[in-house]
Amino acid sequence: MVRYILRRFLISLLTLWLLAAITFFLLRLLPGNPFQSDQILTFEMQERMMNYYGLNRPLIEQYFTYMGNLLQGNMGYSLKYTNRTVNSIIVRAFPVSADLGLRSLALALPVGLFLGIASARKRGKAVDYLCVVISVIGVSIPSFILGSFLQYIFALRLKILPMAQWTTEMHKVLPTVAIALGLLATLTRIMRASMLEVTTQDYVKTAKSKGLSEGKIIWSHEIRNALIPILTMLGPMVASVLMGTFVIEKIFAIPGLGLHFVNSITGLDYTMTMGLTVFFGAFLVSANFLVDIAYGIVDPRIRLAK
Amino acid sequence: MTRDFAGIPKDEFEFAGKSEEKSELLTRPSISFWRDVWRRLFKNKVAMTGLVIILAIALSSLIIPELSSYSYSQQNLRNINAAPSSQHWFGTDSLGRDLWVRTWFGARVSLAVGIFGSIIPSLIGVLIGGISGYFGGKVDMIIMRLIDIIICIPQMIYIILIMLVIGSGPVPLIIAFAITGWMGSARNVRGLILKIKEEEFVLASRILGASHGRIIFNHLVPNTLGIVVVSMTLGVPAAIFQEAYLSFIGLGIKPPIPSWGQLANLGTAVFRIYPTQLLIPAIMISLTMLSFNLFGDGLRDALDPKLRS
Amino acid sequence: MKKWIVSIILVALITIPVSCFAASGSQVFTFAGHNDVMTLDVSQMNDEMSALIMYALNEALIRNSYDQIIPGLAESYEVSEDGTVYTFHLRDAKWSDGVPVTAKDFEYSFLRTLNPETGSSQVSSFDSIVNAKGYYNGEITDASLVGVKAVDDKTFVITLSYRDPFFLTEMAEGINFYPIRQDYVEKFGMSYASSPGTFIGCGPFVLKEWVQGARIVLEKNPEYWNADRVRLERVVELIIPDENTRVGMYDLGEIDAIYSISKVQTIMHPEFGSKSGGTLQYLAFNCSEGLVMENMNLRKALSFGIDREAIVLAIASPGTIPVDRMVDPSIIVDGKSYTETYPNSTGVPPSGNTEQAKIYLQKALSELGLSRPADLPRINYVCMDSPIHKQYAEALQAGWKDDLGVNVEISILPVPQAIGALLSGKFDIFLVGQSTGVNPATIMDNFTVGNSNNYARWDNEEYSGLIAAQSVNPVLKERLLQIQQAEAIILDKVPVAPLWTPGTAYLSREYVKDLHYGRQTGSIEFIFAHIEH
Repeated sequence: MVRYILRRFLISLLTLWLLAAITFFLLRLLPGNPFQSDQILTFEMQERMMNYYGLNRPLIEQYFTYMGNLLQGNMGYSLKYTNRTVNSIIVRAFPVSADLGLRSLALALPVGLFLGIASARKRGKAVDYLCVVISVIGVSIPSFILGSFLQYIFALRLKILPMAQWTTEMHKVLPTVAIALGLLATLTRIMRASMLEVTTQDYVKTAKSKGLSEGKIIWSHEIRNALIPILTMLGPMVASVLMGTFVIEKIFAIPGLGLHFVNSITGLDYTMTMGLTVFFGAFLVSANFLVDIAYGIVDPRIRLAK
Repeated sequence: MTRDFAGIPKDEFEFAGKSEEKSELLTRPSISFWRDVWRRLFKNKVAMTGLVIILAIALSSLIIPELSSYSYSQQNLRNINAAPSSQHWFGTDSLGRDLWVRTWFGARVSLAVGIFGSIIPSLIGVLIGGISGYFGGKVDMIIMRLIDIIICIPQMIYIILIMLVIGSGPVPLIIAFAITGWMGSARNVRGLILKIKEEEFVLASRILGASHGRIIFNHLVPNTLGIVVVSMTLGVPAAIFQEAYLSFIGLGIKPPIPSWGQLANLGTAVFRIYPTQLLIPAIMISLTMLSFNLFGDGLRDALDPKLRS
Repeated sequence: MKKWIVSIILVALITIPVSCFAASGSQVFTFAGHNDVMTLDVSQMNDEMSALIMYALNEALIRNSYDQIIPGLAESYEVSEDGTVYTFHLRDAKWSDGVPVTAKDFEYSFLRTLNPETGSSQVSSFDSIVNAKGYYNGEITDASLVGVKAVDDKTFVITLSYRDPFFLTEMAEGINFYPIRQDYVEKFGMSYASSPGTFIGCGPFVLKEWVQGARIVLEKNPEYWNADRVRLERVVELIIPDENTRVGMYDLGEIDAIYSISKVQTIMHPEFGSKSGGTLQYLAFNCSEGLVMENMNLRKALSFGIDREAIVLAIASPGTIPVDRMVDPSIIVDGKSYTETYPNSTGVPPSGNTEQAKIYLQKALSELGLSRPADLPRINYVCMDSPIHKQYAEALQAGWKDDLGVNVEISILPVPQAIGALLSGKFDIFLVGQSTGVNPATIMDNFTVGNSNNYARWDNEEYSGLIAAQSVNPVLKERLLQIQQAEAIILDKVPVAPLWTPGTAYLSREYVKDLHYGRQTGSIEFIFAHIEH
């Protein structure tokens, strides 16, 4: 088991390093200049700025300088927010996005899993249909359209929830629900399918014939095994929550990382984009790493497989 | 009088006789796997409704724009933001373009991107995942590592890059999806193949000396086909959503070519004043995603052998 | 124990209504911005949000307020006979921590901005100052050679290398001429001006709170020399990126003003106000040899074929005015409108002239040896990825296609890439928007031979000669005449086609009084406003 973990850890590091390298060169391939904005800069001024930031030096040299700094935890200063370090921007904005993401997951996971289990157990009955309808609708309406609608109805018309910003608990309700609904729907569908798959397996029939109580069967056999596909989904799901919050953050004026992300790519703020990519990448890699470990615990076949 | 089970007297049983043909009879009519799937699918009214809606939308998207007297890009700056009327069934947008035509032309674009944006990555994934799972060992490890890495790079960067290099529009978008979307499918197929590989009938085949090709086509493909088709179908709503999302933030289909995502984007800006401009594309997107989901679900249920009656 | 609880409740019951009462009657102004402030470092500032806040937090020698130049930290000034030496006499003013403002603060600020090690992109505003260019280009390393001197604590002298009648107005409208406190820069280094603790100003307001990406709170500065004129106690800027949300919050009463709303929003809010001027939008044609837009008649055809009026009506924000020349009608020189005193025109009426356009098109086709517009080679219109630019591009494309039969292809690129294409000549048509500044020749300066910002790549010796001559002409009247002559040439040859001067629509509640919208983009002047319920 220890060897397994160690191996996964090393691979994670390698992944992260490759990710940084690929993104670095991909970014520089994009045509255009980070110093141009609506007020067109003169050609001389543009070159002056490029030279000042060392952006005209050989690419390989820039790469090694950047990686050297990165290893010391220094991600440089943003090219747009000229006096702020990338680290400080991420440190300030990430907790907000994380808060939003975690709340959505905390809302979606239990409800989604519960509905999935319930609808699988009562398959074909009214409960099942209801759950399927909810989940399919949730999956069919894009979160940004949902967000706009919710804001329009609850904030503007009914006036019972705030319109935007991320200050009090009341402010956090609408954005969380907008994201959670989509997640919930996906989770319900997967859990339902997974449960149905598991219930007909041989080991469940064996357990039943052995005389185990219903509750014990459900818990130790069905649900635990049904969770495995959910685990696989968890990694990418966390990632997509963080990514997909961009539009919600924009609509509800939430000062998280989502806004920074798209703006920094289209604005060619190299340092900011690199910092965010490495950060998200590290996040994803860690999430996958943890999922791998969880797999190892839950499914002995994987641990022992060559 | 002795009694047997069911309480019927034993002497009421007569020996039926041995017969070669009768002992070979199957208890129920023989029916091929696919015919059975079709039959069950047909019976699933919800799934069929989904399919009908999809076909209706697809057909409309092909026919309606050809019948209209307006083109999707024709502007009339003196008749902007008009409400639905007999001249313009869905009204006009902020540049005076007819929304009826734009909605149905947009249907073509969104459906094309949705369908091909799901099928192509799936096929690529099947190929790569299949190779990885079938050959195992070093090949498998390298491919899986590669996937782990590529999955971590934000999709945005790829898409912007591809758009800038190839140009914008539906085809580059499909290519972008193909390049960034095959990983999930590859992983699934690989997992599936790994499982099937260990099944006894495959083992038996190999012992009997079947070639790689035979094993692949006779055993692996039929067992994975169903699942692949289901995931392709269910991947369409995801692709449609992706296109809508990208167009919404300005990275997807570029004007004047309409797509539902673009129409939704344009409609959001005027939502409070001209709500129909957002409602129409929103309903189209939701309806289509819903239909594909329902049909995909039905397909999956139909392919599930445990539900055979 | 019970007694404590009762007392606390009583205190709460009393203070809460009192504070609510205080809040409703108080002078608090809340408005919404679409972006966060990029930086409050005077040397680095180059965006409108930062400029807006800096206008309230700091004070320069002179100030542009309500479209007039009023004294700022300079109580008075003199200009030498030859117009090259400006002597400013500072008044007794203090930074918000009580430290007196001295001329040294200005000297330090200007030199820091010009210092190549600072990496400022705003140095060209100082070009007319002696040795400024040499210093920031690295040719001169001795900062004391630059024409800015703090003669004593209260006297600051700026020496120009040539007479520049527009210098004062440019300084008043500029955003990088504020003073900087040296000790703050030295203490905080690169993090200077990134938070309330690392920034200090001497203006009407003090930076109280800056929640990055969310909110900026300003409070009245009691140490400000003109504090008596400032009536607001608190100003709150909320950062709300989405326009629908901004307007929604305005409707709910959470915000008192929004600056720069799009056309569509004005429909539901007919009480909007608008202003125009300060920017000119024009089409740049790539006139390089061998390219399709090299043909002058084709350019004329396209220019005459644009219905500017209809496009402005349908797409542009209220206040936008179609123009037929390369000088902003809002520019005032010597107290008079330049465009009225020195008329000029392309001859294109606001709604275009399709017949005339077709005549030019025919000429162009025969010159190129083609028979139909469809035979023209590919025309690449590069468009910046912003909502309004895309709408303009589509409208222009549709107009040319429907009225002239000319097909133009649109390529949409994110802003930096689009500008990259502009600067490297990888376009045929590009819609450029430029600040017009205070000098009528500012934009026309670019289109001279050899200028690396000659987007149109247009070579005209006569024009370039006139532009060069006017820039060193000491007699203002002659100078303005030369500008007019040059303009006539460029309007005739159409390497660029003037389109319109964008306007901005804004919303503010009637209880906000004395709010003003300056001529430059992004300037909403609230420092002397007040609330009257």
